[in-house]
Amino acid sequence: MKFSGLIALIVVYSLLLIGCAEDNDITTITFNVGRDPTAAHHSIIRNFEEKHPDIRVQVVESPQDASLQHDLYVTRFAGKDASIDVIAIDVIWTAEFARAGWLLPLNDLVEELPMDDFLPGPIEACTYQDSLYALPWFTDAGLLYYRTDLLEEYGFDEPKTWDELTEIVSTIRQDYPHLSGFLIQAEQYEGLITNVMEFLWSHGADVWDETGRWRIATPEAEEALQLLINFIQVEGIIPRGVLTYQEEESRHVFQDGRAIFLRNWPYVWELANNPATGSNVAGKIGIAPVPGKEPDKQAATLGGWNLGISSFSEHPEESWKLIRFFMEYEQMKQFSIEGGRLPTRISLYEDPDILERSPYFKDLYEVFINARPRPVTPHYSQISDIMQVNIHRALLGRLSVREALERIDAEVLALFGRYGQ
Amino acid sequence: MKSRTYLPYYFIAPAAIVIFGIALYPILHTFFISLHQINLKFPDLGMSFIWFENYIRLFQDGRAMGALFNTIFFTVSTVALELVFGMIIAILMDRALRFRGILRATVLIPWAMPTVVAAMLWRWMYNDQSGIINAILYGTGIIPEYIQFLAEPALAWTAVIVTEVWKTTPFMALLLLAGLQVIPREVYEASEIDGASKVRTFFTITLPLLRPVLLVALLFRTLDAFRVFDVIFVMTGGGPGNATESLSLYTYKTMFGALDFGYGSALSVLTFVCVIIISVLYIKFIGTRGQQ
Repeated sequence: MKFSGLIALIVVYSLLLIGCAEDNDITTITFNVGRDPTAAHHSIIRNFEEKHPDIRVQVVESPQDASLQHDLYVTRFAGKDASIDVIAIDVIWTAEFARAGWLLPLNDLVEELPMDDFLPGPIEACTYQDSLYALPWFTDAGLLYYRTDLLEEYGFDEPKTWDELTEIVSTIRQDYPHLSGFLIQAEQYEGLITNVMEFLWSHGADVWDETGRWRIATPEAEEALQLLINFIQVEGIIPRGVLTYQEEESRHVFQDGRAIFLRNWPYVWELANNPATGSNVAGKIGIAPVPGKEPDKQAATLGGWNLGISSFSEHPEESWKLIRFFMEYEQMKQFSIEGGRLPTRISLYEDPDILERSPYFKDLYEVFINARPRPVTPHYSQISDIMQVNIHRALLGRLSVREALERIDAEVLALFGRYGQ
Repeated sequence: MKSRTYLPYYFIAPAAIVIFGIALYPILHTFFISLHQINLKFPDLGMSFIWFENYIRLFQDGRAMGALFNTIFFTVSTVALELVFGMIIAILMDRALRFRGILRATVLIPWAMPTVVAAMLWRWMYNDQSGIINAILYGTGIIPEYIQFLAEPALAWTAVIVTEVWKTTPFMALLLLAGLQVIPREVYEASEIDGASKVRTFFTITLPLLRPVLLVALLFRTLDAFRVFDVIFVMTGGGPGNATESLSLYTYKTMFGALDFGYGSALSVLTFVCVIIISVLYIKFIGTRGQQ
């Protein structure tokens, strides 16, 4: 019995060896991506494998939560893990990963693609010190959702400025005092910064001065932040509850029919228009760019995900082939139609098939062409943390606007002092 | 015969080596890293030895000291409340002869739930517009308008503490119940014959005899509460205005958000030192007296 067991073992091992030998001319690369409920990338990867029989793609999924993915990738990169080839990264990590030397520069490779056809904001978010370290896979931007039924009832057009939004909210709330005016996401978390940046940009403020140095404490920024605080504390345009809201909380209140305006990402559109999700406002909502101080200052914060290649990858050529495949017109179109994701190529916003599936993409284009990335710097996550703490204190009324902005400057400059800008 | 006396050590050696490898070594290594300036985002800057600079920075860092204070506040208030409620529940369960099994299982439900799930649940219950707590308070006319529980530092603290106490009191109650059940009935009968009141009996008989169990329960809960991360991370993310940030949460943000491993390690060492102090104090004050 023992002897036959040994033979069986030998047989199994030799089969394994034969199996490996057969695979020798097939390269396996990994595609590292957060769990995506739409799973639209799977069919594209299958098509890729059919076209490239010598490459096999293994999809490695990580948790859906972006910050958990960040932790996971950092740990693996710090250990110089060679098992990451192609990686999907949030727009705000690209500079950080590039600075750490974890991503391959793609400057020479991208000449194979029509770069003029990509949206400028997402490309800027992929660029660190004049080199391109990733390509934008799909994009996202902050939008203003509004209740068409209410605005029509009172004869208002969609607001282009903060003053118009204030007027609409004040008028409608005289008759509907229980409705919230304008919902944003202002918990102490990353989403607060996406909202605050829109307020800053819409007042002509920025975090960098003309010479590219960090400076957030400017009169324009003060005005922007003061407006946000007045909305919350004085005028009640924005309910105080937003200080505890992330995207989902604000979406639920809006689609319950308890608010006039909502600032959120494009994903809300299909959910809020679908009565099956429990939405009370299906068919009664419109989208517009987030208002500005003046109509020409409307701004949107860029979101979305990029694809890059790990510096520790042993198969950079095969990895590039996969990224290029995803960036081609046909694949991006398929990804958009099957997954509802917003393409990063300009020409796709005129594609009849895409517009047939999602007619609202046409309106989104104006927002997307102008969407701006959050500060592109390897220090971004720490800067965001500093901003979150101080701005949230200002929103609570525990710090004056000026104090909050000056503290942000001091802390960010101390950070630059420690590691260089 | 002499060789025999060494034998036990040979048996213990593998376990001792494993414990050294997985417990002591990481602690020493963390301390070693905390003496360096090292940020994973800047591999080219390398790892430079800077003596105790991270510790100097730590004591000058208002945010770190605030987080330490928050953690102590959270630990003291949750453990005290858990002790009181845990004791009440344990005594009630000890008395209840019927349905004891069902009762014990029911009480355990919050403890069995993963903390992140429980925290998410409470987060939605505290929501100002769609939360059940506001719905009940508003519906019964107790409050004139919805309250934003997690948007005010004091209310946010209360909310977080209530969640933690709800979640972990069952653990305390169960440990105390086990302790109560080994106290012999005769002792109670004797005190009853002596004419001692219920309160007197509790303080002179139940509590002293419960001391060893109490030490274990309090030590476990205090150390656990001191490491608090999940409840706060899910419910407030450290907000509002950073009012509820705990030491673990700040360490996490420093290590994984900022990738500042040198300073983050110094924060970890601070947590470790606090935990050691807590353990020593407990064993000194409750442990030795329990042996008398």
